[in-house]
Amino acid sequence: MSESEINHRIDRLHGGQFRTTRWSVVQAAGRNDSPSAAEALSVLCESYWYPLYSYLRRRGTKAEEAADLTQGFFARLLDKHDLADADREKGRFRAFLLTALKHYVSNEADRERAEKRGGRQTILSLDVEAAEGRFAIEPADERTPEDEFSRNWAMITMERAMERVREDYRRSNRMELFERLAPCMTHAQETTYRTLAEELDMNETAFKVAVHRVRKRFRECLRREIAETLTDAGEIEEELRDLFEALGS
Amino acid sequence: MKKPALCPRCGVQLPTATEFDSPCPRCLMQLGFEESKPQSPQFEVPKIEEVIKTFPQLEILELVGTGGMGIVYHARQKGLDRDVALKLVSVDVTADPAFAERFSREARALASLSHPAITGVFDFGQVGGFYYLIMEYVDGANLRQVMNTGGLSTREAMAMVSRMCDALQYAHDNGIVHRDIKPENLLINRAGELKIIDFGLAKMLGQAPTVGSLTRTDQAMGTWHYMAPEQVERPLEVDHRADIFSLGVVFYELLTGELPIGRFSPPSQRGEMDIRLDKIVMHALEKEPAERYQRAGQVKTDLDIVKDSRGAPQLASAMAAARAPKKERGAGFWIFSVLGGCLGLLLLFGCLGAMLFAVTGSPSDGRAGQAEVTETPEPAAVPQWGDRYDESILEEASQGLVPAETPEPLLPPGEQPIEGIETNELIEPTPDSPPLR
Repeated sequence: MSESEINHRIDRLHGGQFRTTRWSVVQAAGRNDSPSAAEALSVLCESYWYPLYSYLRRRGTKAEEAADLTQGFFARLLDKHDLADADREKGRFRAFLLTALKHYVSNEADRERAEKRGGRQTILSLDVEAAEGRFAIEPADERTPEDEFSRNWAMITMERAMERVREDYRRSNRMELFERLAPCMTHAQETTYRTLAEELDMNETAFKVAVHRVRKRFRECLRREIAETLTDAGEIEEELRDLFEALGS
Repeated sequence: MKKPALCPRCGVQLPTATEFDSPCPRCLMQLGFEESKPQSPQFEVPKIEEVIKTFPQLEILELVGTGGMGIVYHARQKGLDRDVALKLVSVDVTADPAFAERFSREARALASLSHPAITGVFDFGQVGGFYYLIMEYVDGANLRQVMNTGGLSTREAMAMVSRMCDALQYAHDNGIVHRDIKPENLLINRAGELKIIDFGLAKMLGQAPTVGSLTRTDQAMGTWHYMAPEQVERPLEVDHRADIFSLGVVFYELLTGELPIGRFSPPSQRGEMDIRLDKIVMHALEKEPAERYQRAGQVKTDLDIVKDSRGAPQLASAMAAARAPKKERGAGFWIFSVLGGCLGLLLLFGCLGAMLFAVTGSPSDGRAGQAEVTETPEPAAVPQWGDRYDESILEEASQGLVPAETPEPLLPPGEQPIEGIETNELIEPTPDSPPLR
């Protein structure tokens, strides 16, 4: 059983009341060298670098410089002693990360870059090309860098949750089903259900049960992903609301 | 320039490109919110470690739900490698000294049921301070959740109700009344088959549907809409026909997406469907138990007629009910009767030709208002739906076509109801119940 499955099992036993989250592990470790905390922070950073990158780009930073800054920032962050200097008040990883980045950019980026001139440090494997491709299709509206950051954070959270769900179906050899369920996750017409059910040789009601189940699984995974970035899993609902708002109207 | 696409659900402009198959990120994020506010338990929820220790034969897999009086886990019976639902019931035995006895009696009765559309009870008992039931686990969704994915087609609704009828008839034949039929208690497994859960649990837990307990929790308030009038007004007289009423409410909701509250339209006005379904639904929703379908099986018989026929043969049970004399009439009837009577008297004094009208309007023959209705040909003749059911249309339609079906007794001849399940014992007094009359 994988670690994620074990976590999932524990969460389900507690009715979705996630007990330990990645961010809480990082925070609990504090200044101590803890391999699990380092790993937890690393996973979080790997997951959420794009919102930071898009924030910098929206501020007008050029692509190459944004990539450098992101790498430099994570290099500092993953160095535990430096992390301790950051504002580590209890709270959400999302808020912490943006505050820390702003701090880094305004105070230390120039010094760091001067020191490291001549070689880009590689802390995380940032696919800058893909990030640029993604940034290019973001609508060029009046969105502030902060809005851009939050919106992309929301999108990444959902992508990660969706990937977990897809993985479940892949592992149980039900990808054919998943591919037909995915478009029904948010909206579907009666006739769509009937057609898709027929394609799978399922009865219509059974297909609707499957739609309910994939939505439920997505909900669980999304809440789990959100919980990972919180100190207190009791704040899931609030963070969810913020991310929902961040998607605009 | 191409107009930006809007989400058909929330109406918000869709992003030009997304990583998802589901195109609207907002709607997708919305899935993250809880389906419904979890009900806060009115008891101290046992620690999971304690539950695991108490039931060593079970592998506890998942917390399925917490209700007002109990908690349900999805578990696996290690020896049999069988998935089960473990229901722990919290009872203040000091407040309900009869509980232990009633629990055993009811659980035994439930365990004796064996029907593909009723979740079975495998084991029950008391251990370590818990009263528990180990039941068949249904891997799927409840009917409310399936409805929330976008509603059921008429064909699906008919199939659901038909299967409910089978299960209810079986249980009623065995002297067991469900008393809490509602979409949350109707589960659909992965194969799309319906199963009724929590048979008789309302009685076992002493959750008499009194006004006192109804105002206590949101859940009970939700249940209210599915309850037969007599469950509220005359709880001591509740019998299996209360389940038939609740089935009618569920059927109406499946067909229309709404509850039959206040002045509601016949289902066929809310969507394209066979007009005869109106009659079936309304007959199940009769206020007076005596005027409803008397057996769940009769509902199924009528559904089969609609399903199997292309023409318009009559519905046996609904027709029979239409011909049967009625003991009591709804308010609409009396208003019509009194008006008709007065008008008749006036006309009687006025001219001879009016005498005939006065006779048809007389309250004594029980057909007030028929003159108006019979002038309109079927199927345009729509009864006063707020009065639930109007026999005049059915009577007109049934003339000479269908033999009357005598309502059958609940139990087969010679069979006695299971001890303790008699209708006059259906409601156990609870602290919230009104004093026994």
